[in-house]
Amino acid sequence: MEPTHIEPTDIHYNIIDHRMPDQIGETIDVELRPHIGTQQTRLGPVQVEHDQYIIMAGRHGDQMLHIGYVGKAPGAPINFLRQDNGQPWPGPIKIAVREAIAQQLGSGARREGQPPEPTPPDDFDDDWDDDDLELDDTDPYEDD
Amino acid sequence: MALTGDTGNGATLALGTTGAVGNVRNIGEIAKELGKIETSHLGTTGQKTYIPDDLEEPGEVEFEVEWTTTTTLPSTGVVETLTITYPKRTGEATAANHAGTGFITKVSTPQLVNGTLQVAKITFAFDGDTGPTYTKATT
Repeated sequence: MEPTHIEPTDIHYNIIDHRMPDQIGETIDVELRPHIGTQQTRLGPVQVEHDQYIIMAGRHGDQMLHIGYVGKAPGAPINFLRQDNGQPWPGPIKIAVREAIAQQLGSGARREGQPPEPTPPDDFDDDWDDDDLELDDTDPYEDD
Repeated sequence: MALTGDTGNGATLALGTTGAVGNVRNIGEIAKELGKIETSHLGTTGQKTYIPDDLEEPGEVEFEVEWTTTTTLPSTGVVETLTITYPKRTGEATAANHAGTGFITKVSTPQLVNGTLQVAKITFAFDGDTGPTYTKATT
């Protein structure tokens, strides 16, 4: 029996031809692929999609390389892999990739090591102002 | 015939929400486990008998990071995707990886000992929602 296939639905192959900073003088393509893994079950292997994209990048026309991951949630951090020689990717490349991903996902991805934004509680009143303040005009020192 | 062995050097670990956790020194194994239910009865002879449990433990992974005094301690209980990426071999465009959802259950500060590197231990438990999955490398 053939395993179940789940087609990626969100972003298939969004390619950005992104101009890198002047010190590089090259263009690179940045591509976000859904991260789909194979989960073993008693009914056989099933493909599941994770809540993150695989970041592929490469010089225009060259082979794309897997350089990291970024979560789908707004503000999710970019996690860069290392180069094949074990060295981290140079800063200008990270900047270019971060800008390209911010264009695609709409919100700026966090830098590595930057803590996540605090999440307001569900009942958080975003439009709160002084008019919402209900003053308690009872005198706590007044005798009953 | 070409040698096929490889070490863990170059492997990475990423947390989808927490982000980078510093320099990772080692990543423990991921062991999912299925329990067994004994079915032996008074008429059983020879060996005990078993059937497989209904549900599988998705497992957890422990890893060690170099402690820095400027890094924010990761929070426990934040549900996120953990991705362990294997070192790429020559010719591979996409690295093999293990990934799954879960949350950090334990963060241990380092032992402070003369002549010993400060190393923190973090435990991440898979929650069984998505994965853990294994994705093989592609060329």
